[in-house]
Amino acid sequence: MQDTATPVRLAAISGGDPALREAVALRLAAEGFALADDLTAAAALDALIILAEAKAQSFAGTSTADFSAHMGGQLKAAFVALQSGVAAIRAKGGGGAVVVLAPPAGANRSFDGLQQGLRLLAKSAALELGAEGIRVNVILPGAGGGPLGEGPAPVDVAASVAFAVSERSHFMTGADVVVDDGRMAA
Amino acid sequence: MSGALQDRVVIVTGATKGIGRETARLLAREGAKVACTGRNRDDGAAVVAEIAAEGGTAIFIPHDIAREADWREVVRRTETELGGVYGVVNNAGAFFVKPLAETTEADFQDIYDINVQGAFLGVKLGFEAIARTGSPGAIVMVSSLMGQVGFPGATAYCATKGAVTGLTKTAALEGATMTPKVRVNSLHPGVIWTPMITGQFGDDQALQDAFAADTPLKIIGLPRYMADAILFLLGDDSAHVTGIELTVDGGRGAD
Repeated sequence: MQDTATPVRLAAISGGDPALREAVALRLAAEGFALADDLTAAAALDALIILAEAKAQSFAGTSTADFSAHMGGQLKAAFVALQSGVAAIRAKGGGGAVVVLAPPAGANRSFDGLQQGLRLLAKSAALELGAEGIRVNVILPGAGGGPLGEGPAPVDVAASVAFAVSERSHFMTGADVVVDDGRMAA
Repeated sequence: MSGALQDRVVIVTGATKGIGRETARLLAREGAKVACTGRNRDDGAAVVAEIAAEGGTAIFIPHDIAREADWREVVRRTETELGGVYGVVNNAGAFFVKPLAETTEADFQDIYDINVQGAFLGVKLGFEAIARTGSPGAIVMVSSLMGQVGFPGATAYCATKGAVTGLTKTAALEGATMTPKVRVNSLHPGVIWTPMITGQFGDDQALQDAFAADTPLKIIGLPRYMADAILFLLGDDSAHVTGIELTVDGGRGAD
């Protein structure tokens, strides 16, 4: 039951394709979060969700300009969102949670290094921000199916995001939450 | 009110103290019917009483997890008294700190029997029990950060927890081929302030502070944090999660 005295928790979502954004937004709303319209305008936050996007493109078919645009663009967007979101979390005070979604492309993997770049960005931030009670974790969704099934739908990814931003993961930081129907276990 | 595990039957080994006890209590608060197993009957009765006082359902079953006969009795009593098994939390474990050179074959065998053979039996018998229900299920293996990285003086413990990590992955792949499917994941706690730790290092505030200072989040791990993670791995929010290593360690392993 929601205590009427409980202050509303604020979250912002950066990036993401519309279906995933919507699923995450709905789940966060169900968990009692209010969503900031614009991350850069948010003065205070409890949670930041960075939804990086994968792109399937072959090595042969990827120009230097393509590589720089997607790899550099996504990594830099995550970095900028992290800086601005963490400033807003600090402004609110009392710690907070950041979740970085780092998806693989699955096939035509010329950009799959992005996933590892995002992972280490998050882990480094986790180490730097831990003492302030700001947790940073990574969601690694599968590309396609795995032994268990056809792969997670946006709602399934959103369920893991919800866990990673909630008090239920109070002691978890710098961790990977893999949501891939067992693909990486094989 | 309906909980995340309403009316689902879960076996929690090592439920008499530490992580197992907090897990049993949380699962019961989320509506699960919990079979609490362990070696100490008095502690077992206390956990069951705590859960009953909170309005939950639980039974205690004496259990040496290294013995298959004990496991069969645990499953039989659980099915008879609570119903078909949805989940198993293979939590019970042993821990000691001793330099490699001083660790005897008997030391190694003892910790292996509990941490590896016990975990193996927990998955095997867990699969059998869940399969009988005709419904999907979930198993959580409590490994350790020391199943992922080394720790001086804990050769035997690290070896056994590393074995649990590998056991979990293979079990997850086999569980995914079952009809209906069973998910299997491992939890890797960092330093959690439980009798397992205080039994080796002593229960003193200075040491607790030192562990906290050495953890990126600057707090000591508590059993209830692990209970929350186990609830996530058992419940429907992790329906597409299997074979993963979930590290909940205050950031230690990220360094």
